[in-house]
Amino acid sequence: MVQLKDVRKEYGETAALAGVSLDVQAGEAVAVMGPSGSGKSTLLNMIAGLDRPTSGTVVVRGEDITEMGESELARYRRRRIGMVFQFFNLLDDLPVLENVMLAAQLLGTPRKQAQARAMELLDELSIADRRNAYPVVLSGGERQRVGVARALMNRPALLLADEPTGALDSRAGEQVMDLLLDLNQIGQTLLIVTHDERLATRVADRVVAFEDGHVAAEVTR
Amino acid sequence: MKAVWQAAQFAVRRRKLQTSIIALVLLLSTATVVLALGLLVTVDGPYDKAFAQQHGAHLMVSYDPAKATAAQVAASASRPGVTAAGGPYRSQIVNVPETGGTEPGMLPPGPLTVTERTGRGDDPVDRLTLKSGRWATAPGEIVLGSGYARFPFDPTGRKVTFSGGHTFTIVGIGRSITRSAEAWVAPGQLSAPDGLQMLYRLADPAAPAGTITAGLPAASSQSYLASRQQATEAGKVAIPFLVAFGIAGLVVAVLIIGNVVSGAVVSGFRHIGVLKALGFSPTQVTGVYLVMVTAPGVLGSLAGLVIGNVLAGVVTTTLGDSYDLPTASGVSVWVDVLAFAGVLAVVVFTALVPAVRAGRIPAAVAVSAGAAPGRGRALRVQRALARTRLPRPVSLGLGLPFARPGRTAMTISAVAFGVAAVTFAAGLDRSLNSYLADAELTETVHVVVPIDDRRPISLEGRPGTAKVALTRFDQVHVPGFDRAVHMKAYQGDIGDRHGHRMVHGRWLAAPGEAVVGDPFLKTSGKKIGDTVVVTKDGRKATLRIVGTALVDGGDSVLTDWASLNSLGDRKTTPAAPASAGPRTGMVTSFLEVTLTPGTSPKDYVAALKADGVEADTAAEGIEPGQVIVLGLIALLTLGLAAVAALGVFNTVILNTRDRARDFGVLKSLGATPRQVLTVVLASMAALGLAGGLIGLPLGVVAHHLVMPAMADTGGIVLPYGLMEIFPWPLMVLSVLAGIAIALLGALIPAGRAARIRTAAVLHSE
Repeated sequence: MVQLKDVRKEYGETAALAGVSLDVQAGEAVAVMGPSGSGKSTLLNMIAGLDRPTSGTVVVRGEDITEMGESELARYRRRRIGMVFQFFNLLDDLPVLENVMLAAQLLGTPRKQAQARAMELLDELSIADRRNAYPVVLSGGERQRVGVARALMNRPALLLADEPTGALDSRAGEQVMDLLLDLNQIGQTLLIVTHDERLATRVADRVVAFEDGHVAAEVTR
Repeated sequence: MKAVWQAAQFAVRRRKLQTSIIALVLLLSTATVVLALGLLVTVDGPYDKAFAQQHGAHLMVSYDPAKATAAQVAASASRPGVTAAGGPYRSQIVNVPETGGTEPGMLPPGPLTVTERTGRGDDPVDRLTLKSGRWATAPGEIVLGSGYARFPFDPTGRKVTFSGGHTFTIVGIGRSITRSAEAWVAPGQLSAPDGLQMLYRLADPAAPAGTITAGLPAASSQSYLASRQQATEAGKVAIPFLVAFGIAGLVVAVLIIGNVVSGAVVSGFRHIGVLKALGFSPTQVTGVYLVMVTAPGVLGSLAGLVIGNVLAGVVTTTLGDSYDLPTASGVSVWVDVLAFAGVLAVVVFTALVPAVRAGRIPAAVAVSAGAAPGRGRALRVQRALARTRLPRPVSLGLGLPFARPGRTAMTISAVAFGVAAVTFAAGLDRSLNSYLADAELTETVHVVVPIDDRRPISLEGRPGTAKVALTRFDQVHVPGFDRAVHMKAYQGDIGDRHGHRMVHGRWLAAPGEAVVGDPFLKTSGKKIGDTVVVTKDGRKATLRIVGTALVDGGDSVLTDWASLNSLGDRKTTPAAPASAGPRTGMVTSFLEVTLTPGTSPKDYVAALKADGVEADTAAEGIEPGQVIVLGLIALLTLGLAAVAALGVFNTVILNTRDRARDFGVLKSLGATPRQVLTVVLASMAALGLAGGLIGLPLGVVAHHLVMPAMADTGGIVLPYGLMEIFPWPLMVLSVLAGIAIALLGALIPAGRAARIRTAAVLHSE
């Protein structure tokens, strides 16, 4: 599903990624762990096509995304990637339903079709009753479930999660962990960047430990 | 204070772009204000100054020498109210013949007043000055007035012969601030003086002539106000619209500065919090924000002063050259001081409200918020837009302005002023062109064929000919005018208006009637229904004024064929052809040809020339003053539209900064750069449309207020139709100009938003 070959990312003289090679198989759940500044989030940005490596290649489902232009990358993100953020990154001006539908609408999906899919996801994530609420009135756990629903809207091959439980209390964190586990069990490929060992232990098939921009260890469960 | 200064410097460095915008906006505003104020003062100032220096005459009277002696006339100098007097000077109205006497093009044919006088530095009234050469002291010498004739060469040494065969050699060019004569000769050189000219300075400059001339045979009199009006009206015509532009420029500057400063407060919440955490008092925080705006404002205003002075200098000098203002100088220092202080006061006042607001924000709120609250507004609008069939980036963009209504209102206002300026300028341009078309008959007269009485030309039935009118011109003298008056008549049906647009009264219906331009009434002090006596080579005609029309030159007279011919010895119809062909420049009779639709005037003229007939396309003459006014309109419109676009630019910078995270989210969801661009441009297009819809009526109203004021200053009364020059396509274009201004201002920051580094903005959360 994902192959990184000798990926380097340098900011001036600092190497955020110092020659990382990593494979993620379809249906696998991989947790990337490490201290702050170890390069975890940079790795996620490379795979999401939000940032470009200084050298090396990132191939997702057979496509080398390092060769893509900005518009191609945008299309790649729409079709192949779903992203879940630590701070949710919902649009405050839009109600829950519109936030979730947005990903499909940017793809050109007709409104009715997008609405049906969004309602289906909100139902599955048990948050359909909050569809008309604005993000500002939701709890952290609810917001993250909306974020997950939005990420799954276009049926992505790969779900990338950046500290998905980082801004949640333990109860809400548990709910999100269950959610991710359920998704993986029905075949969703996951790549999770986290500090949360419980999340890694519970959800990931494999844990990749990062240190100073390179893979320090890999543990397969 | 040092801390405030340092913090302000830091804030300025962080906001280089917005700092530049403030500087640029103030540059343009100050330049406009200086130009407007400068011209306002300059056109009046030099004349009054020169009038005082040269002891100009408040009243100029010509007495009939056949009915009073020089001694009797001179005694009027001691009448009550007269503080000083000059004269009597013998004067004569002489005539420059249409041909023969002078070199072609040297002097305009027609009458002029010549006075026997030598300029002396100690004359008590109307001290004459020499522009070049010397005064006439010997027989056969003449000095011409600089306001009478313009020479692209030095005319000294050339000869001029008047009707009657008297030849003079030009020895100098002089100037009278009172415009007391068009030429001067040495005492005793006039062969048949017809006037004794007295020049008076009065205790009450506005005192009626009758109090001085009572009991004396005054043939004509003229107040200095008439020559003052003639000397300054060209510059004054530009003032109403310059004032309008100056005010609009200041209002837009206020809007943009308010937007910039409140935007800086909104986006600088964390900065404010940090300042307060460091121990800055509310007053110091307010000071930081005031200095942040005032410093670039001072720089921009200083640059604006320089540019405004240069522009005002160019305009006044050009006007001076064009209209023979006594002296044309730049802007006086007090105008600079007033403009600089006024604009800066506006800046400080505008910045004060958001700056005080910044000072009052509690530190904890500022630090914890990181960005000002304000999201979540107008959610209903967003929801309603989401339900439309518009592409999602468009509906998202259209909803953005509702999140910050204050900023949106200021941006719409800036665009509205830009559109108002464009609409106003377009209207002004169309009115002026329409005026010229009506005054110069450019839509009625397409081809002009000069003829002389020896060779009649028939164009009737010629392909392309719709109508042919035989016209005749003459230069006549009218009391109260210091220059020859243009008189024109048409042969044939007296009731045919030949395309002239009436302003007041009616067209000619019987011989002995006249239709004049409104400036003629103003200068002569006449009104419709009055009679006026015109003279030419001793012949007189009395005409009754029955109406006013738009006429070329403003103070022209239109009369019937017989009345015009009664002043000369011409036949009433062209005579049989002679062997010689037409000689352009020697004739004052023309055929004015109206062509059938679709006929090219150039082709028609070419065909006539091929047949040996001299002809020309009717030229659209634009006077230097009009060129300056049109140039200023274009310049200031561009300036104001640019300032409005800068306002939009600033808003989009603020919006994209506020919305950076949202754009990052959109990109993370797969929005292409073009879709992000669409979001930003759609939001600004909506503002542009709103600004256009508001600016259009503003521009039309400004046109309806300023155009008549300009015309009034020039002594012209506009007919109603000249104000109704906004057809719907022009209105649509004006509204579209709002969208164009908005999109133009948004393009660069929108492009930046589209290229936003998603990872960075999402990570910064």
